[in-house]
This record gives sequence, structure tokens and C-alpha cells, in this order.
Amino acid sequence: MSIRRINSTGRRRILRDDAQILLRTQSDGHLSFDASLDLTDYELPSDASVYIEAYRQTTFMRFDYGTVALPHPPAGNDRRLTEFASKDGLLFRIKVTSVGERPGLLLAEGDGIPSREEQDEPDKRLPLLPPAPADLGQEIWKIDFAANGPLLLVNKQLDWKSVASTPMFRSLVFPSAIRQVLTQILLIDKESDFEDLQNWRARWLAFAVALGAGEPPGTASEEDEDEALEWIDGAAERFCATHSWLTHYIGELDRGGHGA
Amino acid sequence: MKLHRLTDHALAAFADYLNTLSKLPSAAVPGGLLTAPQNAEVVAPGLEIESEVFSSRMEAASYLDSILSQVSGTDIQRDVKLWSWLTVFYFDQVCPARQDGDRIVGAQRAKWIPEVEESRRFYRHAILGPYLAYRAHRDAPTRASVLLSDPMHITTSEAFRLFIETTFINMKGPVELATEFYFNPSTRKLRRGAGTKGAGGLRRYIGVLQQLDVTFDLHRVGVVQLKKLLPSEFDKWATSAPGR
Repeated sequence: MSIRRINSTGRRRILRDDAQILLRTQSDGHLSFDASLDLTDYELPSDASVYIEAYRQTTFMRFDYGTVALPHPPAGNDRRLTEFASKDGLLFRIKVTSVGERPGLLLAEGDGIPSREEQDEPDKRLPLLPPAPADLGQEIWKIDFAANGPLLLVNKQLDWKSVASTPMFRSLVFPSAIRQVLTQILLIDKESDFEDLQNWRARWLAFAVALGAGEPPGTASEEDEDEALEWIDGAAERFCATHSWLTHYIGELDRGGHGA
Repeated sequence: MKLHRLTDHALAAFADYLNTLSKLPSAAVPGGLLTAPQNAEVVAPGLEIESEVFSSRMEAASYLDSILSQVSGTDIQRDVKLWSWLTVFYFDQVCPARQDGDRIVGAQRAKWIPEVEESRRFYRHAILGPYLAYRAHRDAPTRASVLLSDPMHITTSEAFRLFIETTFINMKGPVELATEFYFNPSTRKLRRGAGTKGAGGLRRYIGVLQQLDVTFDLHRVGVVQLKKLLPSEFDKWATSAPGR
């Protein structure tokens, strides 16, 4: 069930630049994290509560981070991510909530925040289709629609990171993946808002708009469905043209590449 | 018996057995899957598991949590071979034979061999699913009674599905209120009318939570405040919940 996120309470969106999560592996093997939050420009009440949530599927941990004016991170051992045995698929969420007349009112939120380890370069891009290894039997790839957006599952029996980064793989897979994701958003989830970038569906639609596909059609009628299919085709074609996938594909063939 | 996980070979054999059951429902579970060295490897030396009979998914999840919390250094929740071994170990409870000896496995393999990478299927596993829901409420498990009171072989609870498919599974207030509204502690079943699609039913409850979740941090909203935020269609549950 998809819910349109109408921002009637003036909830602010916390930018990824203002919420950095650094992971560490402790000597006992447990993951722990440090958070660097900069909430100074969000005009939030000084006594508002700040929480950090770590999550993957149903696994979830929540940390009280004090208030906007007086951040009070939990002590070192209390920032251990004991519910998570690996960082695969781990994401973070920052919430700032009211303590006033309406306790729990969401004042600001940043969701889908990835973490990095000390040695990693900060990645400021928000990946629309992050790859992840999966046990797919004889299937090479598939799209998985997780709550926070689609994942590109690649068979873990392959060197999945390398495979997913080859021009051969990308030229064959990405156009189809884009069609599949946009079809899910417009025709199944019936979502056409592309402005609330907190929402993964809006980010995908905004991506297609930025490719020059025009604004997405409505989702109410059968005519809209036909229009949506055309719009999706157009977005996929523009994506291919922008990245010259055929040229890359021919180049790979000429080099004798087989994509692995 | 020591806690094991299946080997690749045994996992394939178990999958074959499930396929066989689809055609021949009286087929017996292959022998030796649980302990034969080529079929199973010990998860942690000295860690024993009992072949208990559980009255509910809650009881099973609680027991497994007490066992699995002793395992370290492995990502338990994503250990397909461990959960598949547990499926074999408790097969008579999760997939009991009928009086005529037939077992009905259905088409969903994810019920027996978990698909841990699939965000829409990982929780369908007959043992892993309840375990995950229990873990989210292990500080006060009865809070989640509405989700986990079915017997082991009932894996189609709508309350369980509705919560575990959303982030609400981890939220104390929404789960506790659902138990207060929709769960009858005397019968250990959903109250009459809870499963209706219309006003005040469980599906509508989740729909309203989804709307509230846009505005509120529902982790901080307790039962009392949540009741005030719900529309009047839920009043009938608030006034007629068992025990009040």
C-alpha cells in the first residue's frame, strides 16, 4: 500500500550532507557507529529530541541522541549495532521529534542514509538502484522492491560487484530495470509525485524527468495507463541515448568482453 | 540434539523433497538430513536444541531466541541453511501430516527454505518469520500476541502479514494497541470482526497508521496517545476490548 507523503506539518528533510554515519568494527567483531549531525540550519526547537535508527528489513535498533541543542550520543558500547552481524543492506534514519504539546510530532527526518567505513570515500550520491548479492539460483539478476526503494539483486555466485559494473551488464540490464521500476511506481503503486525527494518513488520519477521524459502522467484512468507506458518507454530510450549503451555494448564486443 | 545447519547437498535434497511432496504428499522426510555428516554441520559446539512441541508461534520463537542468542559470529537471520535445518527439525509441527498421512506444502517454497534476500518474502518462512517478530518485542512478548498466537502450522495470519510487511512490526505502541483491540486472550484468537476489510478492521488500522507515520514518530507514540489519534471508527474496540 503506497501512501502519498503530504507535508502538512512543515516537516523538514534532513540532507545527507548533514547526517554522516561512520561504521567501525570493534575488536569483538561487533559493528558500532558514530554519527555526525549538523542540524543548525533547520530552525528546529532546541529541546526537540533526536533519534537515530539503524534498520535492515525487520531488524531495527533505535538510539536516543539527545536534543537539537544538546546532542548526547550514547556511550561507545551503547552505539554497538548488536542486532546486525554484517553491514550488508544496513541503512540509517534520523528523526527529530517534538516534545511539546504534540509529543512525537515529526519535525525533521532523513531516511535511507547509508553508512561508510573509515577507509571509504564519502559517497554523496544517492544510488537509485544499489546492487546487492543474492542467492538467485540460475537467475543472473532481478529487481527487489524493498521498503526504501528497489535493489538490483545480482547472483552471488558471480563476482557480483564486478559483474554489475561492466558496460556489458549495464547496457543489457539497466534499460529493462528502469522499465520495471517505473512500471511498478506508475502502474502498480499509482504514484506520480516527483517532488518529495524523501520518497524513493519521487526520486525515480525525478530522475526520469531529468532525462527529459517530461512530467509523469497521472495514474487515475485507463488512458493514463496507456500514457504511462509510453512515458516509461520514452524514459528508458532517453536513458539509453544519454549513456550511449549501444556504443558501449559494441565496444565491449570488439574488445572480446563478456561482461565478467 | 546439537543445533545444525544443512549442507549445500542437504539443502538441495530438502528442496527436492518439497517438490516430491507436491506430487506425492505422503512421501517421508529423507532420513539422515538432520545429523549425517554429509548433510548437516554443527552450528556451535555444545549448543543443544530440544524437539519440543510448541503451542504457538510465540512459544516457538521464544524458545529459539533463547537458543540462537547463544550463537555468535554469524548472521543468524540470514543463515538459510540454519533455518532450513530448523524446518526439517520441526517439520511435523510446521507441516503436520493429516490423518491420511498427506502433507500439504503448497506452492510457496519460501515458507520452508527462507528467501532472506527477498524483502517481500523473507518473513514468510514458517519459523524465521515469527522469530523476527518475536525479536522485535522480546522485552515484552505478550505485546505481540496478536501476531504470534497461531499454532506453528498456521502461517497465513493477516495480522502478522500486515505488520511484518511494514515498519510497524518494530513499533511498541501500534503493536500493543493492535493486541488490545483485536486479540482475545481467552480464545487466543482474533476477535470477531477484526479481520473485516471495512471501518475499524485490522487493514484499516494499518492504513491509518501509515497516514499517521507521515506526521508522527510512532516509536514515541504510546497506546494512550495513539488511541486519541485514531478516528472514531476504532472506538468500538477501545470500549469493548476484553478485560475492560
